Amino acid sequence: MAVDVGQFRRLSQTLTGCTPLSLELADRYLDNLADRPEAARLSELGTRLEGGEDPSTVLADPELKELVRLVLVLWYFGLLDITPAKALGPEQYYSGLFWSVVHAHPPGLSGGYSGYWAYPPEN
Amino acid sequence: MTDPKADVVVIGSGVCGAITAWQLAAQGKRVVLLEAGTNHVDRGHLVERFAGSADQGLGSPYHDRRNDRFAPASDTFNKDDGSYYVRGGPRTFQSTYVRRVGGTTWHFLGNTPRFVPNDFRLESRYGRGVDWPLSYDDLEPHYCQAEQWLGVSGDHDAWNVEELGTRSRPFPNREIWPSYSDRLFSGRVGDLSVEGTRVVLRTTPQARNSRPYDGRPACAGNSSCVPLCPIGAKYDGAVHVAKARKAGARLIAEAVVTKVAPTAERVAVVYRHYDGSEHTVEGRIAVVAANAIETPRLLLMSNLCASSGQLGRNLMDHLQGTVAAKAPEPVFPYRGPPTTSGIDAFRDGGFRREGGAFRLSLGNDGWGRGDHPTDRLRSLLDQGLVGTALRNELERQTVRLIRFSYSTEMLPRADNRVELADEVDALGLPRPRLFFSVDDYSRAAFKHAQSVCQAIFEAAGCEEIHVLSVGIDNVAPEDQFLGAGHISGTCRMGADPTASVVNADCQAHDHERLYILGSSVFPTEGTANPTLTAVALVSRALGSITAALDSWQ
Amino acid sequence: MNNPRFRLLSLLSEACELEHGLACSYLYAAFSLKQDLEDGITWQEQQKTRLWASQVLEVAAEEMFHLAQVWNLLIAIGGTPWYQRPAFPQSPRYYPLHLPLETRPFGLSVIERFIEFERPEPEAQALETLDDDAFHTVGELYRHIETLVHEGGPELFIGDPARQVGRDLLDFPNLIAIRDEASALAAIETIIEQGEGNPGDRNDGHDSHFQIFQAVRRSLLEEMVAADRDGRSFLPAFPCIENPTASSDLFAAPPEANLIGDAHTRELADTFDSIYVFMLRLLGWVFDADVAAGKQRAQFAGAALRMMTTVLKPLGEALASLPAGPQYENATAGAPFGVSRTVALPWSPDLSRRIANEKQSQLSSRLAELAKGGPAKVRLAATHLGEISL
Repeated sequence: MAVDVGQFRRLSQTLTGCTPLSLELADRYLDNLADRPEAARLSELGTRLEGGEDPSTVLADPELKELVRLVLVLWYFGLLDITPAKALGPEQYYSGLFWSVVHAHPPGLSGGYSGYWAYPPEN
Repeated sequence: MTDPKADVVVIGSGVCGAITAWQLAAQGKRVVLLEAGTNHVDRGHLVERFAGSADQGLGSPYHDRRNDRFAPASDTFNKDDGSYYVRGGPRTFQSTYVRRVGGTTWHFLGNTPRFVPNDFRLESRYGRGVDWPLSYDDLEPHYCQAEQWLGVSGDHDAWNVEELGTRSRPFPNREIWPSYSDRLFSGRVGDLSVEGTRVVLRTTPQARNSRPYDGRPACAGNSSCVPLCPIGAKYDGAVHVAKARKAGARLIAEAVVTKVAPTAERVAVVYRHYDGSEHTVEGRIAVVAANAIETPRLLLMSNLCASSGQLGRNLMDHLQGTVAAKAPEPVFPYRGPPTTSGIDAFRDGGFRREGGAFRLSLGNDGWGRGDHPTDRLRSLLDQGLVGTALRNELERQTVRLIRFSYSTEMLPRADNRVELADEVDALGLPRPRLFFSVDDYSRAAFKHAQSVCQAIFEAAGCEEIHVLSVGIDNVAPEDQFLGAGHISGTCRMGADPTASVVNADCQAHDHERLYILGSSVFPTEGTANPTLTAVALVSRALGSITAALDSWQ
Repeated sequence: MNNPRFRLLSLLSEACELEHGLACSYLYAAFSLKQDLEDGITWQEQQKTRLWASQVLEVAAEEMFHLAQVWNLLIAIGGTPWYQRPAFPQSPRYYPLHLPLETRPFGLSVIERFIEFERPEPEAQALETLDDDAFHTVGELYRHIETLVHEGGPELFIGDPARQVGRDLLDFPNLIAIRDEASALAAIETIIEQGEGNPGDRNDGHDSHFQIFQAVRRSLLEEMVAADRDGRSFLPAFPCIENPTASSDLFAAPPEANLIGDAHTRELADTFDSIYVFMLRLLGWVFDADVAAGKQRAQFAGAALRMMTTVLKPLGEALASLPAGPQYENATAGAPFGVSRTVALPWSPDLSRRIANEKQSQLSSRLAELAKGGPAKVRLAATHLGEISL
């Protein structure tokens, strides 16, 4: 696969639009992708994005688009987006980016204090 | 093995069974509380399973191999063999329950409104369904008691109005904070009337602590009430199981009751453990509080309550749907309890002659559990968005998601029923076979609710207003619904023993030592979530149970 | 000479200082908790820290409610809202309270101190202290106030209830206007019940602050024991210094306070204090404004609430994670809650709105500038401050 954790993290940051991402999570997610056939093209994806290519052009390649989808769902939801979707664990669930992007929190985690929902979000 | 020394054997440790066991044990009675499910109720473990699941679904915290095998419920039965329920036809019955110490309140939303007065007299008022053998006024003091026990948070002044049922006592806790979304919405629909009815957004009474209460913390907005509150701010039956045990009741878990056998002097209750060993416990009175599917199932297996022919019949559920929309400004969903306010204006009215009443909940949960953020992300990706553009668009779309959940009343019908199937479960007990269908009364309710929601959203300036597809195959759109989990009716209450299973004290007409508690006794279901009314009936029935225990041997 | 009015005004002002000081103490502890996985905690620890934070914040919010209620009491008997308070750390001699108020990060000894603040007073001791004005618990102080209210009778209540603040302006559902002895005593009883609780039973199920902190302590001990048994380290809070200050001005902080050494952190902390004081001035104006200024009262009250929940909270939490300075080694800072010399907003609505807008603008630019380079919570606070309209 020939992509290291640092490179994987960088390409993930570009694809998710979120920075900075956890190196430790990047390590785990890279592991989760290891056995996926799509992962064979991780290095190519990383190189193209680091070369300054617009991420959306990468999507024209259907295989790369599948890889991008896997990467996005890993980071946004802590899930491996295969069929059926595979949960990776509570740590990954609670690390999902989606919830903070929409100014909320993963269900099953307090939003901070009793009544916070009466006010506009602080996050 | 027999233990003849109990006064009361309670079957089912959900909210009704647990409170019954607690109250009777506190009076010094010898109580045995039997539960088919497991007693593994460590909240941390439940959260771990919930968060470690792929979909945080209804049963996700509660899957347990042995529990699922020997005390199955419909979303936990071995999926390879098909669902636990056997479908008698024509529609799949969609609601389920939890078989575990504490019962279904583990995953209930926690909304606890009362019935409205006319819910008890649907027949005499509107010529549909049947009347209850008691009135709202009869039950009112017991509603107050039920609210105390559950720690209901509510706004007394807003709810103390005649059409919703006057209140003789304030709620034990003030109302849960309305959400930011509720406040914005209230501002937009302040003076609105639909069909000549004023639309008033009221905070929903809920068994969720607005303030630390009874040793449990205040709601901190974990937003996962369904299926689990990680901190115990939402009420669950385990609260009263603990109190019952502290008061001296004996809990026997993993005890699947297979037969109830009342005689003139005693009731023998036979149960089986998961290892197959069989035991009997006897009491002077038995209380069956095993939910509206398992209760008739057990009574059918025991050949009891047969004389009226109503046992297992009149199966009801609230049939629900969603009208979704995009709000004109960000409302920031996924924060706080899944719903904090609702519209009760259509829970009663002359239209009930032709179609069911309904309650509306304004969601704080986007487009609800049927709408998956993962789908939205995938769809944006398919549109060629990625990176910051995707992130921004995902945010932009999500923060304006809003919905009404409508919950409609259906009529009790004899052909909607629970029977015993030929198929058996892992203990060799006949599985429930369910017959369920939708009629014009319900279809009218769906249409009515949908048009009211449409009108309200339009008045509030929302866009993309649409009925969310439930996605059931081979069913016409006008017949689509989701089950609310409000199962009731199968052991109906009535004054006439030829037409009902229990009397107004929840005592079986056919067996004076047998009481049936829970929503299975409801003759009609109104539009309120059943828990509070079921607990109010417990409060009322306790008078009769205690008197019986004191006067008999 | 049985007009206790001025004695009451003085004692009520002390009560203000106490409620206010307690609120800040509790907020500091709550802000110091690590609540995000990025702070280096596991998901299980996060479940606990968020629960503890919400429990401590619950109590802090009720102290703020008590403060608001006491402001209404002051107005009712001819006073005005008092929002000054002594700087942290307080000298043990400042009040007769045997426990001085400080800002310290969350931990077992801090929670135990909170328990002591809220411990119910045995009845006998309460009677003893009626002769002098010394009080050893907050509950005692309030009981003394109740006695004086009773002594003062109807002539005490000369303030206009319409100038007081109710739940329509601030999110305190139990906040009542004080018109007479009955409402005054009812208000004070609510405060006492929420803090110490009633002796014996559980207040019809309503947990007192005393009970809430005991629950937190129990839960914290369980986690500490479990961590010890498993051989893992468990640090639920940032290593915040105690009693931080952003200012060497002795008015704002006594010599015992810890001056933040890191320049950027200190500037942020100073900005926190400015926003905090600004918020107090807005609230102070709301509590003493003319009924005719209803719209502006609502505007200012709403702005103050948003400042608290969407600016001060994330900023306070951010400060708890930022370096305190090289002289403190690896310790982090925290929000000073310093009340500098300040004057109330002018009573004229037009003038006060103009001043408020100027101040908000100035603070907003300052915070936006400081926010460049993060952390994220500071950027969020800056965005939200910019969005508040006056």
